[in-house]
Amino acid sequence: MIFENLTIRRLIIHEVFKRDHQKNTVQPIYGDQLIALGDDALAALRTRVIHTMGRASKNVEMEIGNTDPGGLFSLSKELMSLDDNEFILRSRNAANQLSSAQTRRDTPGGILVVFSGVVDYPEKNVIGFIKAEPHNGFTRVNQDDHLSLAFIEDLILTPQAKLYKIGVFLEMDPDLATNENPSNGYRAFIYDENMSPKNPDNAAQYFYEGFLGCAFPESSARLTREFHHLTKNFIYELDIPEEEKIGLHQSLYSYLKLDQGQTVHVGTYANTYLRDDAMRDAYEAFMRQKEFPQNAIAKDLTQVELHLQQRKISFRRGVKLTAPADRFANLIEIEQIDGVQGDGGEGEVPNWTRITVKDMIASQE
Amino acid sequence: MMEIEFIRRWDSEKTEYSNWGGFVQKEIETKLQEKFNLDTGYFLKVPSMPRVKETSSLIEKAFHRGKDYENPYDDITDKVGVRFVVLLSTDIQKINRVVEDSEYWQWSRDRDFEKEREDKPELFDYQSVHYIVTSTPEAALANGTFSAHLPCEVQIRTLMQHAYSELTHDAIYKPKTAATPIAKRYCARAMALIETADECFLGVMKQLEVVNKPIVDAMKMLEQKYKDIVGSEPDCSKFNSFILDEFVDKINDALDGRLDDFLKERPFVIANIKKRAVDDFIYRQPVVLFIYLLAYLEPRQTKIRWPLTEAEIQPILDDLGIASEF
Repeated sequence: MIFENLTIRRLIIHEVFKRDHQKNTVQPIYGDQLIALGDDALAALRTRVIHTMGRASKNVEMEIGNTDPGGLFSLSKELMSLDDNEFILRSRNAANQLSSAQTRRDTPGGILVVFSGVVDYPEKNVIGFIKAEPHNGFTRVNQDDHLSLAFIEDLILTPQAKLYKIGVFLEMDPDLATNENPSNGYRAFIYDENMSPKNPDNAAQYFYEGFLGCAFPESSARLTREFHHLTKNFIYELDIPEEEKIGLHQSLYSYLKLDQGQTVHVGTYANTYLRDDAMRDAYEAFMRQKEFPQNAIAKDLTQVELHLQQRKISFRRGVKLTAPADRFANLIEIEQIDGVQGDGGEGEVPNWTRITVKDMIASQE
Repeated sequence: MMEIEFIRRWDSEKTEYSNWGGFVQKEIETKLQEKFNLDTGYFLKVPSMPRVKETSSLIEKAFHRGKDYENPYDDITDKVGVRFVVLLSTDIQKINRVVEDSEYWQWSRDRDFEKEREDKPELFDYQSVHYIVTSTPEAALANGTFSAHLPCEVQIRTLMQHAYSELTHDAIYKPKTAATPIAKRYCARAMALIETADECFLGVMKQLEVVNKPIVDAMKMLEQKYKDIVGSEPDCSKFNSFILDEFVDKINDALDGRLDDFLKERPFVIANIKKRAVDDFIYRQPVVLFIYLLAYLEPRQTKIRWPLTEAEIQPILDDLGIASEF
């Protein structure tokens, strides 16, 4: 599990601004020192990062596309090994890159947090970039024993995850990097509530592509297929009545095909469709054991489309029922009933199935 | 012996008796802690205090209650006494053992309710265990604040027997006339109920022991592991069983092995426990190991069923890199 054992070692902030009326970039204000947070504050910041990067969070692993010497990935590699003073100076470059990546005039400014640290065991270097957009709120002030409210216009990094985006580069094994493939041995993860692979021209692209130089990975289609396959197996192995499994298979179809979400995410499926926390934990453990990513992946149905067209139910003695998946719930009613005992009324009462098809027979052989 | 002589002697020896009583009380409590690993503040349901008899009540007992002592000063053995009140009749036996094993006194059993029950099975009356313990020359020498051969009465009873005794003490036994047959009948009925209730209490305890066994066993395992792996002496507060009780359905035989594997792959968990144990109570409890494992294996249930505040489980989830907004 990659985001275990996170320690944030260095931290600096810069402020970036929205473009001016002529669409020119505005020079960022640079932080000139590392920020020393108290234990509580550092723990809270770590919670924010884990919330977006940890197991079961909805970050997406990306491909590192831009490995140019002037790009952010190269800068990140550099930042991992710089001493504090150089880190302070070089991190300004990230603020510049974010400013120029914000090409649209309506992209808001904000605080860019650059942090370095280690994660996992044995420890691996990590560099993170958080763009936090300010929002407002209140705080209570106690002046001369009178309680009052103070308005704060530039709150950042509150637990409201909608208001920050984060990208991290992780150094898995720097020895794997080559001149041709400088990003070998590195991984990139991004969290942004607005992110969507289907709609590349959206409000998030400047961040993951323009700024971080990442692209959606090509493995999305394969992973989406695996998700479908493994989840089907999980449902198959569940020790619950067959009738309930019909509902779960239907839910898998709904999640992939009908749900408007742009990503496939084990935790979200569990939360939305599984009946209780015990089943959700069991599902996540099952997927983890099959080494399926616990973070989000871009939903790409190209390899499962075929499987999603038909719903099939097989009976033990050769009877098969096939129906179009998109109309299955409307067309078919299935109910388990008590059967009739065998000859002479001996033995257990068998389970039979009553099927209602809300349609006429069109043809038969 | 005349009253005046008696009083003079008592006045001069009172402090010694008081010291002796204090010694007996302390010694028994210490041994209870050492021998049975008991928290005496909890085990003893009424604080045990040595009590030296008031001169007037002593005189009354010696000369005015028709007891006809041959040698009243020496024959009255409860000039100082210590009383121990416990919850269950089985607890009494623990104190019996401590009293009978001590090297600092000689003992005799003055009253034994179990024997009285055997002798008069049809009677429901005052029940308590009374010992007379007499200081040995060695004890006197070692301590130096009392002399040898001083008697002290040790009373041991259950909380319910104590309640009965408090009720009947003055009203029934001292003035002979006060006890009407109806009152006596009530007392006998109360004592019969007390005996029955004690039996029921024991049944409850036995049942609890069966139910608690998985928790007790898990706790032993965790305590040992904490000592071995973290390398410091853990707290073993009630917090541990509070948490284990909440997640009792997650305790199973595989726990031990799973915990070993889990910790072997994550030395940082132990490092974090060590670091935080200095100023955070939870990290000094053996159960913290269990919490880590559970949070890793079943994060949702751990977080949702977590019986304390979120702030306390958050660092553990963060250590394990678990995004916890389910």
